[in-house]
Amino acid sequence: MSATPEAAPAARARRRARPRVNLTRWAKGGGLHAVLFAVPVVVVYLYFSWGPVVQGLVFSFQKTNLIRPAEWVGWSNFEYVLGDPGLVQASLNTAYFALLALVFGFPIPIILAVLVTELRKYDTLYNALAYLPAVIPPVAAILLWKFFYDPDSTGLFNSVLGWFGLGPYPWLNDSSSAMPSIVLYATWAGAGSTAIIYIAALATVRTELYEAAEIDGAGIWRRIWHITLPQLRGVIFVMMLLQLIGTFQIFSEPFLFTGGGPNNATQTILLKIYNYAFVNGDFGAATALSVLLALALGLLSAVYYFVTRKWSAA
Amino acid sequence: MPKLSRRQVLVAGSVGAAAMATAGCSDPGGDAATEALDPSAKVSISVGDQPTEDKPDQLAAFNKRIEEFKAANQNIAVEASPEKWEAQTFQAKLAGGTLPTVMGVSLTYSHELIENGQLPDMTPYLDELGLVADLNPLALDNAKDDGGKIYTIPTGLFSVGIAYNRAIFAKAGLDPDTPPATWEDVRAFARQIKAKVGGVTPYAQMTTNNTGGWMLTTMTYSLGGRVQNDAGTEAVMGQQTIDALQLLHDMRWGDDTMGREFLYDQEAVRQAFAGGTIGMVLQAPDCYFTVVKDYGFDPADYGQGALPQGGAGGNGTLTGGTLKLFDAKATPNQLLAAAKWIKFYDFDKYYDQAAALADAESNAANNSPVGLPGLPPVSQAVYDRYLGWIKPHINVPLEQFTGYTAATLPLIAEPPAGTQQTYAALDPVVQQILTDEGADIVRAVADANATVKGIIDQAAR
Amino acid sequence: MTLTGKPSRARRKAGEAKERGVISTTDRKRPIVRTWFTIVQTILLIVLIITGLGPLLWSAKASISSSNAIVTEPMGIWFTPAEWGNLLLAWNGAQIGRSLINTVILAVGSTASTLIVSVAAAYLLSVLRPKWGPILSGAILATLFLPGVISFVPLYLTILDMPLLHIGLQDTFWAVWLPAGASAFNVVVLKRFFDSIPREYMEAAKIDGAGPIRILTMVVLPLSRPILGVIVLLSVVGSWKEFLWPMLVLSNPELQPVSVMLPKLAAGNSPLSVQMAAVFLSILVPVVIFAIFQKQFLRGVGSAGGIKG
Repeated sequence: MSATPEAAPAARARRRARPRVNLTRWAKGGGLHAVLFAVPVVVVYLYFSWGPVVQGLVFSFQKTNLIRPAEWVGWSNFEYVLGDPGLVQASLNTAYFALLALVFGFPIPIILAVLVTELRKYDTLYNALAYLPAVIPPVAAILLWKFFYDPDSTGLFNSVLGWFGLGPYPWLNDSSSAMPSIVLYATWAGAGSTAIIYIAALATVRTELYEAAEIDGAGIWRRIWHITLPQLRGVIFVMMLLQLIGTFQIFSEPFLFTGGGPNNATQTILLKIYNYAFVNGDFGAATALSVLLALALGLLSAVYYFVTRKWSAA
Repeated sequence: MPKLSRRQVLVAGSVGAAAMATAGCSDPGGDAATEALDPSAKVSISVGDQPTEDKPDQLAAFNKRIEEFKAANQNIAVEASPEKWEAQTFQAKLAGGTLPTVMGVSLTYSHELIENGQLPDMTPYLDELGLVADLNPLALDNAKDDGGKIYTIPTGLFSVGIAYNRAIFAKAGLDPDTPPATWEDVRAFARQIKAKVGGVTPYAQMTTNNTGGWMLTTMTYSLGGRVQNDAGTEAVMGQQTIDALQLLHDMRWGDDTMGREFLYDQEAVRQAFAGGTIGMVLQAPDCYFTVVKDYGFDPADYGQGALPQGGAGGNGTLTGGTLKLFDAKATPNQLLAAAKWIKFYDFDKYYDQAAALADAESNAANNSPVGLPGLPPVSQAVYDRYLGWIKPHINVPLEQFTGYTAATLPLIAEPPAGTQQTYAALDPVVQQILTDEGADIVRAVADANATVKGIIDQAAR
Repeated sequence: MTLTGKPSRARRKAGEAKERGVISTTDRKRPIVRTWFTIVQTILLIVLIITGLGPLLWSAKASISSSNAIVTEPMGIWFTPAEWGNLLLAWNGAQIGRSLINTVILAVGSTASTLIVSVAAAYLLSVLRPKWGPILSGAILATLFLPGVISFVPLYLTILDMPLLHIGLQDTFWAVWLPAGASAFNVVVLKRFFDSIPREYMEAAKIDGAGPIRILTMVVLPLSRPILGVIVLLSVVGSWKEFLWPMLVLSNPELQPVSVMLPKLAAGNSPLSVQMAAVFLSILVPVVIFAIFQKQFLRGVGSAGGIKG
């Protein structure tokens, strides 16, 4: 939180002190410009965010297929959604994905970035190679990986592991390994682009500190742990937030890989919402679950904010 | 007064849209629409299901038919659209009204769409074209509401059977001309294939994108059970469903005759079948078209049997097919024109020898299957006459289908309420049995009944 | 969350020769460090080659194999490149060239739209601060927690027929561009960054007679380059990935991006080898472009690293 807290009240006070007399005054004082800047913002949000959201809220209390007239059905959409036996599992799966994605997807880019930064030669080659997965259109990559995950012993991953006497593994075809398989893909797809950001951040680490530490006799690991990582704290914090937000929106991966299977092991909340709306045509249930998810996310963000406020201010 | 009639049809066909467009106008006379019909008025329609450019010969054949239709109906401007049924966007596009005037969707949707008022009443147009009399009554049942109005035209009907790879059968020492007739046969054949032929999946099961529930329903029917009662008000899966799942469980975990891939859907399983790695799989005969025409499977290796049976009576096979979805918001003249197109494209060949021959010749010329067995959308008499006409062009090895064509299994309709949702809810059940050795089948079926009941109630609100 | 930029510093660093890292020159001379470092370096290179180039090479092979060979022997080294026609079929059938161009158009437009709207909103809320600012700010913040799906269907209806204007955006790129503009997250991030820019700069510009627009373009935006880099990167990656929404609003194949085209090919009974050829082409083209502009691209992305605590 390094905003300039003194500036804000001061400016507000100045503005409040100014007498409001006429339109010319208001326009000259920046009012006109404020409106000018507000127009595109308000128009875009009104049409593409607020309006649809409000209509979505209305849908959650209706039964409608948009061809017949809508009927008000009270809380019954919410009752149906909350009574759906699959809801608990979908929530747990989403949390499980978030956890796995953090465990794997979070440290790997940092390790990669630290290593690449230490290179004295060919670092651009490493950089470019690491970034390649992010260049591949994700849908193409998923189609490929889906094929790589072929559970037969002739499958690509299984034949490679077979050379070392391992496997064959069921990958996506087993409730316990399906989600980790999806996370493995997601890590591959995301690690390079995240690492690039860390690499750039590492360039700003104050190197004097390393020298001081070295003189004090600190080894390489201690230097990484006590100097590099703490200096990356800010960017780590932002990337972690981004990844968290991303994991709750996890949709295309399970959708294209498994469709939520096997036995609902990769069914996420977003996939469920999607199924309500687009498989069942039940827009009421879909928006009702969206509202519930929004409430949960709001709560979670508040908790995250309060827990990390201390930490990031430290 | 074309404008007025349009309003009236809107009121009759899609109350919601009409309520917005013409609030207050409330005279839904069903006859008014026919009176205002003008078969020669200029009208433009869009028709879906145009093949994509990676299938050039099918695309060319389709476009040729469009041109012929335009030439025969100067007043109708037809725009071909590659729009076709896609599970992911269908409901949104249907709600948004952006689908073509007519396109094909799975027959599975018919009850739901009729009940939800998402289909226009097609009776007057079909009467006008004289298309109703000869339609297969069995198929027509799926297209009617309780009052006898017809909302859609069923085409491409089928009943589920079992497709098998004759080459694998031969290698395993099985008779390629004898498909499995019972589930015991399936199990025994699969064991024999596993013992004699390496590297193949003896019996594959579809499990994803609603096909798991679809096939579990089929298996339940084959054992004499039902998924919903006939009225579609209760979920009634019982011992037969348990037996079906137990059989899959034993084949998967006991015999290990089901391979390693348990996330097949229709496309994936056909692709694998065409790759020659699957011994048997539940499929309707239209599977032949896809695996041979699209995936290059050797026709000589394709075998088709009827659905294996078991249980203690009441058993049969599940029917399905395609229905033509007409735009509920189209004008009467558009609907008539669209119905004309369907008559031209899908039905003329059954009535007109020249059309039948032209169609068969063009299909034979680009190596598309001609004479594929299936349930005719028209009456048996009409269909037999048609088969006589095209006999010289039939290029499908019919003798490899005798197990299917000789069978006279009772045909059982799909579960009526929330059909796709019901199938979707059963997918995980099948997946669970195939991926979890310790799965509690009785409990899984009980849970599935509860879920399906919830779907029925939510749909019936 | 501290997004305090030290852009000047980051830029200076990039221009200079590489300074020391964790491992010092003395460390590098120690045999044990050198051995380990070489081993790690080699392993890393192998892993990166496999993960980075592997999919490209494998799909190249698959694209000229027969469907059967792909399934039965995915790792076979010896294969007969018999099926050159696959590539042609895929290029024509899936229109890979056109759909890749569409993908780029969508990414550029969406990024521009989100930049314009978010910069305007953040500037308004952080610098201009009108009296009604907090209301607008609250309204934008509230959408941060609402998952996009809640408004998916209503948004689609809006696209079909925009209320009051009665314009249909279906089957135009605007249907993807405009909704991308409403990104609350970007507004929040940008506003925080703008908040951290010392007010004296703007006051000084004001004294020199600069109006709000000049202050934005001459002072605020140049200082915000790193954070703008982050937003560009995130929004390009985001739109690169998007497929459900474009699939819905762009039903005309002439306008569809690659992410819509490919799954359709898979669902449309195209042979596996043709699908793989399409996958290969849709990987190859961006990879080649990336290889050509690799330096500029990575430097641009790298400027995003200026965010630092």
